[in-house]
Amino acid sequence: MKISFVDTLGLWIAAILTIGITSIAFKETLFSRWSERSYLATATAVSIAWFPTNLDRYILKRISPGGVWTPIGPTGGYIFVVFAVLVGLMAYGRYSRKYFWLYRYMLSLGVGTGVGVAMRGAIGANFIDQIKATFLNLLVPGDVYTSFNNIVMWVTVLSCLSYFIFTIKTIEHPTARMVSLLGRYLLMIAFGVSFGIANPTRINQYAGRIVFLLQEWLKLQA
Amino acid sequence: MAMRIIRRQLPIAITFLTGMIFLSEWFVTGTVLTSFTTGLSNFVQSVHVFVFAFAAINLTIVHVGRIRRQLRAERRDLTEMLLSGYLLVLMYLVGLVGAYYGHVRMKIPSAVPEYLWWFNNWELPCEATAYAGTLFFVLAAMYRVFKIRSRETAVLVISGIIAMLGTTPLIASSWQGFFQLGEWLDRTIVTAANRAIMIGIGIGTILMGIRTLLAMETGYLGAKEE
Amino acid sequence: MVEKPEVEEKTIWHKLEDLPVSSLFLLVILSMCLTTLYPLGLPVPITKMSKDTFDAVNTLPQGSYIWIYNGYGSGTLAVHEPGLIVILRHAIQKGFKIILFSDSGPIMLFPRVLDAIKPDLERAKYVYGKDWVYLYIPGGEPVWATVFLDVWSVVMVEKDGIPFEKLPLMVEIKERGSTYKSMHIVYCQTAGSDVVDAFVRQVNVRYQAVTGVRLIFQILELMVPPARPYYEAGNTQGIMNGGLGAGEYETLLGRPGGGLKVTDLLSLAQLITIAYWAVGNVGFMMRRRITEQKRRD
Repeated sequence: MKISFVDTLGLWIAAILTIGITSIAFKETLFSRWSERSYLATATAVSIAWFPTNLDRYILKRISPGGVWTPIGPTGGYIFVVFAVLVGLMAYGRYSRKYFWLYRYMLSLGVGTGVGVAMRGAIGANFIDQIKATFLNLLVPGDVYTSFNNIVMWVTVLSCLSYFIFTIKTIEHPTARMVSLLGRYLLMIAFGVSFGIANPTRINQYAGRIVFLLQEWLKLQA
Repeated sequence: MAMRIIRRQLPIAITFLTGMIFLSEWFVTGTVLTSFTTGLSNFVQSVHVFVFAFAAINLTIVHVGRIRRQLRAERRDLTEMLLSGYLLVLMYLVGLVGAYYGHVRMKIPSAVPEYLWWFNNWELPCEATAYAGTLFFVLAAMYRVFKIRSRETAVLVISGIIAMLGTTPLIASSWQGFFQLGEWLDRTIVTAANRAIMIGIGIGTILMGIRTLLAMETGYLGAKEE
Repeated sequence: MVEKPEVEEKTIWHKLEDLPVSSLFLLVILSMCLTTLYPLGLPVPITKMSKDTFDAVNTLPQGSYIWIYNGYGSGTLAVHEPGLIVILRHAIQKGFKIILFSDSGPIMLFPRVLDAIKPDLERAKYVYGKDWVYLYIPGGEPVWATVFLDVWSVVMVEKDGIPFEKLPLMVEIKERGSTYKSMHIVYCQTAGSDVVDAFVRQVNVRYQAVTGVRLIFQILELMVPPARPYYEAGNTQGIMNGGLGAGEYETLLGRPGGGLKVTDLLSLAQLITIAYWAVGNVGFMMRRRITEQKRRD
C-alpha cells in the first residue's frame, strides 16, 4: 500500500519524538529538552483547540433556543448561564494576589459537589459491602480450601485494620501488638505483590512504542 | 465585615449548600431535589469550561517569566530562551489553528483531518512515550532501592518477585505454580489488605466530607487574608 | 593534621551492586525489540477475573444496552485501545446497542479504534445513531451521576453536534424512561483510581439493586490490587487487568489483537529486570557481610 509523503513525514516526526522523549531517561541533551518542550506545547494546545467547542456547547447553546438547560428554580435558564459565565471568569482571579478570593467561588462549587457525590456512595461501597464481604463462612463443610482462604482473609483484614489503629491505648497490649505486627507483614506482602504487578503496566505501555518504532516506522515485520 | 463575608463565608456557605443538595438527593429521589442536582451539575459543567484555559495560562506565565529572567541575566542561556519561545509559539499556533478549523469550520476538532494528523504524529507519540518512559525510573528504583535490608523488606521483595514471575507468560506457561501462587496471593492477602485500607479510606471520606461541609476544613480556600 | 577518611575497597560485590542503570534500560529495550521481531507466541493463562469479565458481557441477551466510558488518553493507549477494540467487537457480535461517552481526549483517539472495528460494523450492518452512538460529555462524577439519571438533561447533541432527536437510539432511551433503565452493562476504561470509585458509587451502589446493571472495568495492572476488593465484594462483575487482561479477553473471544501482541513482549523484559534485581541484591548482601566481618575483626 502506497503511503503519501505527508504520512511518511508524520511517521518520522512521531519516531523522532518517541526517541527524544525516551532519551530523557538516559541523559539530558538538547534533543531531549526539545522533545520535552514539544510534548508540553502539544499537550496544552489540545485544551486551547477544544476551548471554543466547549464554550459553544456548554455556554452558548444553553442560551440559544432549543439549548438544554434544567432550571434550578422557576426563573428559567438564561440567568443561570450568565451566573455560570460570571463564576467561570472569576476563576481567573487565581492569577492575582489581590483578587484570589474570586477563585474561591468556583472552588467551593467544585468541592461541594465533589464531597456530596463522593459521600453518598462511600458508605455502601467502601464500608458496608466490604465488611459484608469479609464476614464469610469460616468453616465451609467439605471444602477445606475455601475454609482456609476465608480464614486467611478474615485474619488479614482484622490484623491490617489493627495496624492502622493509633489512637486506642489498649493496642499497646502484647497480644494486640502481635496482631498489629502480623498486619504489618501481611501489608508488606500485599504491597510487594502490588509492585510486582505494577511492573508489567510500564512494560506494556513501552511495548506499544517499540511495536510502533519497529513495525510502523521501520516496517520490520515479525 | 462585609468583605470577610464575601471572601470567605459565602464560599463556605456555597460548599455546604451544594454538598447537602447532592447528599439529600440520594435519599429523597423523584422530588424537586433531582431537578436541583441536574441543574447544579449542568451549572458546574458550564463553569468548568473556563478551566480549559488554565494550562495554557500557567505555561505562558512560567515560560514568559523564564525568557524575561534570561534577558535580565548577565550570562544569557540562549538555548533556554529559544526553547521557551519555541514552546509558546508551537502551543499557540497549533492550539489557535486547531480551534479555528475545529470549531469554525467543523463542529469538533476531531473531525478535522489536518488536526488529527498533527495529533496522531505529535501529541500522541509524545504523551504515550512520556507515560511509558516512567518504566525506566521504575526499573532504576527497583534495582537501586529494592534491597533486602530487613525482614519486612525481605517479605516485600520476595512476594513482589513471585507476582512478577506469575505475570511473565514464559514462566507461567512453563510452570503453573508461580501463576497459581500469584493468583492465590492476589485473591486472599492482597484483596484483604486492600480491603482494610479501603475501609479506612471510607471512614476518612465520610469524616473529611462532614468536616468540609461543616466548615471545619477550609484548606481548599487558601490562606486567610489579614 | 587532618585524618583522611577510610575509603572502602571496591570489590566485585560493589560493582554488582552499582551496575550502570542505562545498561538495564538498553537490555530491556533490546529484549522487547527481539520479541517484536521474533514473537514467542506463548499462551496467556486465563485468570478467573478475566473469565468473569468475559462472562459478564457474554451472558447478556441480544439487544442489551452497553454503556462504554473510554476515559483513557494517549499515555495509556497501548493498554486501553486493545481493550476497547475487543469489547466493541464482542458487543457488535452479541448485537448490543452501544453508547460510548467520554471527554475530549479519547474522542481524538477514536478514529484509530473506528478503523479497527469498521469491518465488524459493516458485517453486522450497524448504523450510527440507530445501533451505536458516541457522546461528548465532559465533567466528572457529578455529571455522570446526572447522566445515569437522565442523559437528555445533560447534553442534547452527540459528539459531532447531531441533535438527539435525529438519533433513534437516543430517542429510544428517552422513551424507556430514566436513563438507568437503559443500562444493562457499563464498561469503564480509566487510568484513574478515583474514576473506579466514582463508577462503583454512581452505577453499582445506586442502581444494581434496582435494575441489576453490571459494571466491568479495564484499568492499569497497577490499579488492580486496590480495586480488587470491589470485585471480590461483588461491586464489579469483572476487571480487565490492563494489557494482560486485554490479551486474555482476546483469547477468550478468539480474536487476537493488540493485547496479545504487547503481552508477548513482557516475558524477556521481566526476566531481565528480575535478573538485575537479583544481581544487585547479591552484591548488597555480600558487601554487607564483608563490612560486618571487617568490623568484627
